[in-house]
Amino acid sequence: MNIRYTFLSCILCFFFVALTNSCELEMELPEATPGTGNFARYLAVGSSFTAGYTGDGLNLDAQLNSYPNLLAQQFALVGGTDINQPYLPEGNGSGMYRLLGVTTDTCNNITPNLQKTSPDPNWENNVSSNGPFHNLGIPNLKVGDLNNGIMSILNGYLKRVVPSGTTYMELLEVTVNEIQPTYFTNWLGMTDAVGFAATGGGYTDNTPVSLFSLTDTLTFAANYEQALDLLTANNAQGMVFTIPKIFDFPFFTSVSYQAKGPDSCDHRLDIYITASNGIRKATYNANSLYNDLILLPAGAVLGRLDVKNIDGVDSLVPYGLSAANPLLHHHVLDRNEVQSCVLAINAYNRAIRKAATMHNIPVIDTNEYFTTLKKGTAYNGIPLNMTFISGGFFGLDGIHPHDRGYALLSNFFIQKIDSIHQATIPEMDISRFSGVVFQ
Amino acid sequence: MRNHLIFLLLLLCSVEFMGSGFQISLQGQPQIGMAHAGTAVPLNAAALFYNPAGMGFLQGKKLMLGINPIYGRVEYLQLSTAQRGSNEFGISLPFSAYYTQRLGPAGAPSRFTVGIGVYTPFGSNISYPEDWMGKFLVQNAILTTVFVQPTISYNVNNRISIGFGVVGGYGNFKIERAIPIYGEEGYGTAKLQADGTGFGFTSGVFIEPWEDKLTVGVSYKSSARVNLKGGDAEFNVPATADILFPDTKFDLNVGLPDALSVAVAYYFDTKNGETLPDKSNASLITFEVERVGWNIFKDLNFQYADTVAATTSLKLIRNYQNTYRFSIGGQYVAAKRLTLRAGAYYDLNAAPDCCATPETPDTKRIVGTVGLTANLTSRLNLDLSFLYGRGLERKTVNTQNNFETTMKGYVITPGIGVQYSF
Repeated sequence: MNIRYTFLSCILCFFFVALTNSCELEMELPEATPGTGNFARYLAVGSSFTAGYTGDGLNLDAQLNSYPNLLAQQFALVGGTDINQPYLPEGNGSGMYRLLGVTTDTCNNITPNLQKTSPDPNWENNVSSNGPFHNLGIPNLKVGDLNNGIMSILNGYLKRVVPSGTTYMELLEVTVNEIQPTYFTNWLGMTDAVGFAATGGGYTDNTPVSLFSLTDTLTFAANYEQALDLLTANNAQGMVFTIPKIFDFPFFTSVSYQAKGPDSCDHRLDIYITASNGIRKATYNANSLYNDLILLPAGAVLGRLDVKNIDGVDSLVPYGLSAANPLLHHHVLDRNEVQSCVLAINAYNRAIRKAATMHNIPVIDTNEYFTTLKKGTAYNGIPLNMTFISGGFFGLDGIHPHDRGYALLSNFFIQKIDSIHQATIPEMDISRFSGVVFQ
Repeated sequence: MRNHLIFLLLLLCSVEFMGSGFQISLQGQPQIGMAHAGTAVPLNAAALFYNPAGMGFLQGKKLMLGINPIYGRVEYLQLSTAQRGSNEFGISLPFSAYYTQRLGPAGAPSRFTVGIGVYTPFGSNISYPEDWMGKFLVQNAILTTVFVQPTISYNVNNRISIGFGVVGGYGNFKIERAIPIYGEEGYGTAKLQADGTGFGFTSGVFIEPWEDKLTVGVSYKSSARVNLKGGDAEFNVPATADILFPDTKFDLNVGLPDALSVAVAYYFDTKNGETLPDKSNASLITFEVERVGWNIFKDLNFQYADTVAATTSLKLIRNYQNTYRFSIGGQYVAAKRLTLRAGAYYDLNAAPDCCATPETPDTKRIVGTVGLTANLTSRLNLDLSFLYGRGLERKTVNTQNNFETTMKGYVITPGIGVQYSF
């Protein structure tokens, strides 16, 4: 009978399908391809961000997590090779912040308890014989000082990798000749802005320090172009990165322009600052482009009782909360200094774009990433934003990313490389990186 | 032979995998064997679940018990990072128990039939390797619900009946996920668990416009809100971060969807002459469409009793959309004591692309079912069913978590049940 056969064949057919299909779930993974890119020999130049600097220092672990090293690991999937970096010996390196815990006050304000490890005594020992290095990221080195021989003495990080008296530019030229890079990244210029901004406009306490001053635009443009000449001398491919809006970073946003009062959470106290035009109250105006910024290190010492001699009488005066004991210049970037720095960054970025265009090298606007981060984003379930400690991107100095932050930046760069070169380089699994570690 | 095949399949690949949202439609082996198309066919006591009006065509007293162990596997591929993931071995065990009884003396039955059902209409049980790529979304998730449903139906006449039932539900869930707070030992974990109760109703109409040839059924199961109060949130984080993650209580309100089913069944001539009112001795084919109102499930909004990591709530966005299931099924009375069944259905995903999470793997599905009933004695029936479903490949990016995956899966569900009539 028809129905019988239909039924029996249905049932047989069902078991056939179930049996033959049941375990085949494997999905094809597209092959990693370099596209039009040649990643055989990679060279990275830049400053602290390129070195892997984090927690206001550098050690071996941080170097291993530098974005050039992370990128090289992914380049290795499409024909790249391992890179050599000027590694520090295992240990504390130049000394870095550690997070010992947090305290919360009655107003639910969370204060991190940070401690800096002491630098290894021999961290500045010269390792130039281990070169050539594929990562020439030198912390605290300004584009303005690329041709300045004295930096090989003043800058401990440069001192490690060059013979005394050698300039960064000379190091770069030798390295390019030795490595013959096929691909480079260039994130020079960060220190020219950050060095000034993070020192309250180029100060130690209230003393101006020329090392931290803003680089003049002409010197920046000339030096930057010279570096790019060297990088592209052998027709290497590459990309250059702009200087982002650093004033969104937690170093500049974590401490309010007002302090918490002693009695209630709503009671706010004025903060007195040493501004470029004298001692005054810090102000904030939502409609103003530039506002006074209290820097992150000030947060830990704000309200500390110092002995001050007022009218011949020694009295205890809270730091930053009285005109008699204002924040020192290096703890605040006043609105005029913010303005100078913003204008300088704009000029530097114009110079970067101009040099890159001349050399036909793509420019990656790093603000694209930081704008997303500021709005708040996530990666495989890890929430990310620009908040200090809990934001998931920035490390303990509030300026530099931690290992996860650098990995996220690397993924952003890989997306750019993939689109520029029609490549399919896999991104990194962000959950391998721990970010801030509670000790 | 069949049992060998089932056993072999289970050995080869076992785990568990759910379908549309976290709904389980595993009620009554005969209905499962016909692709869950039970709204237009009053076959047995499970009619209480599929269409309470169908109860009006059941005679005497009927007891029905069944279990359906679910094994499933889901595979994930994250294209951007070239990583793979899949769930771990696990079984969930939905069960159902129904009792119906026609009121009045056996010789002169009344127009009323009453019944009660205890069953597990929603559930999920899935676990992933601890360190898998989705660990910050979910490592383990278990949802269990048990509904109790007293029901009554009334025969308007020989061809029309209506039914209504009240549903009391108990729900219990537990979710474990990693949290990106790292200490020397690695990341922390959060464990959230709670239970609560909710209420709803079910109703239906059953019509036989063409006697012994055609039946039509419509049923509506209401939505329900389950209030989970005083759940436990436990956080395991480095000691120095403990102050930010106090163990605390939370409240959560979960909406469970309503369901509207419309079905029609056509009956072939019966071998033994007269068709029974419950149609269990007729060969038939039935079509059914079910709409499930998943858009009630917008989010999981955990309201903490204390401040956790500087916030007092955790809102996981779900934004589910309504789903439709299209079933075709039939049964063939092969011998006096043996009925064979087969069916197939196609079901849509409830989780939209923005909000799919590995908590409840959700794709469009094509499912095939078979089943049989053996009349062991005039009173005792043995029911077997077998379901094999294929979750179609689907690429999603969960925007709240920026979690990109391509997934597919399968589910295998054998079922066994007994019916006793007296």
